[in-house]
Amino acid sequence: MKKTDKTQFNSSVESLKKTKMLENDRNDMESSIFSALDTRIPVIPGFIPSPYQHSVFERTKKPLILGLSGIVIFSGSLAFAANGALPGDTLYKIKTKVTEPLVLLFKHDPTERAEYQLGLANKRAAEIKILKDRNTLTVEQSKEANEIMMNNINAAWDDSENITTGAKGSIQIDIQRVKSDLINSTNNGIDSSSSLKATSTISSSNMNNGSSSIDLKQDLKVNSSGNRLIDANGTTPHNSSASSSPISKPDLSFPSKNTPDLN
Amino acid sequence: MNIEDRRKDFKQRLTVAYTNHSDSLFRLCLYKTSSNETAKDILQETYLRYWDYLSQGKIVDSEKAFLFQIARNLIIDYYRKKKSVSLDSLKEEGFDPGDASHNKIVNEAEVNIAIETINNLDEKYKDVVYMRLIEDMPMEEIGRSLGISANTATVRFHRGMKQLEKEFK
Repeated sequence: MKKTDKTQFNSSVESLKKTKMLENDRNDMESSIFSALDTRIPVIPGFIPSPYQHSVFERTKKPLILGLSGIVIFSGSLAFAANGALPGDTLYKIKTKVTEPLVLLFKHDPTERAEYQLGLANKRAAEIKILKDRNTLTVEQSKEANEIMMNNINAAWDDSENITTGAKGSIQIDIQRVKSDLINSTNNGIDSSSSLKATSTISSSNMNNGSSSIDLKQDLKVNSSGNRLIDANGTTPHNSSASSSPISKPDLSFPSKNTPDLN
Repeated sequence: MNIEDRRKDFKQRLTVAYTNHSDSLFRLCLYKTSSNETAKDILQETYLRYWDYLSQGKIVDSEKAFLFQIARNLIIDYYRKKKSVSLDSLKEEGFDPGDASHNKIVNEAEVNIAIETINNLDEKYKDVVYMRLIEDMPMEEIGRSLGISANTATVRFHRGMKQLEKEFK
């Protein structure tokens, strides 16, 4: 095969690079292209402007999406940050008034709702304990947490009333137990959070067997610090004649004399 | 924007495209067809096709790569029309549409040295080497106009250059 000289090739490349149309050819072609364009008036769909092209949504779509993403990210971060807030913190109200009720919105089963509310009551007790341990608990903080806690217990009770399964009895016993534990702990300075954890979790066996199979005697032993709320038949002393529910709704407000001594 | 405004806008874009790329496209057509008249015809049709494309409201990422792609397709069409048999089968048999031997040869003998040497390369390396060496196109654009990735274009260019080295004395 015929070999090429590299220098010749390079100079040839440079010449080729400089190869252009003659100026006349160039101008002729340009005019012929543009005159041809006049005969090619496009009547094609691309030329018909969309009626939605200038709609408000079209114009505001980008900022709208950006704004919505910003809101979602911001509120998500806020909710995450508020999760660890304690009574007295700025974010505590967001946690108790926004985040937790929002989670509750997505729970439709009365059993789930009651369990969730009970969990929240336990959380409040744990928060008080943390502040107590740090020696930073004030009367206002305690009041605030206690109020929310009572609301949670009340709401749990209301939800439990709507339960139609056999778990109703056991959940209501649990609610009462939680309530009595809270009162006991605030009266006697017992570590409430640990005992509450035990009572708030409704065991599956209790759920399945209903109130009749709950070992109430044993429960009473655990709660035998003076506030007997449940007797051996599963009824309460407050309203032992109630027949619609195995357990009547307890008096869920803290007695004023039981307000914890915070100092 | 109404139709008249759009037409004006497209005409302006076409004028810019003509000013910027007509020489490169002419060289490509000349290199592929080795005929001054054919090169001019193909060049004109390239811009008219580009106009049609723009008129449909379609968007072009890389203008030069797109124009090169149109020109290459038109060159293939030109050879298909010229020959009654398929170009692909001809290519399989070793036919090269850019081969200067069966066309009017570009007058300048010096220019022919580069064209002939590049045409001696394997089919898949020719265009990449041409676009890089003669047109100084970035690999991204070469890839787009040939319908391959920039990486593949780079690999082909280096292999083509190795083969080109063997062509030298």
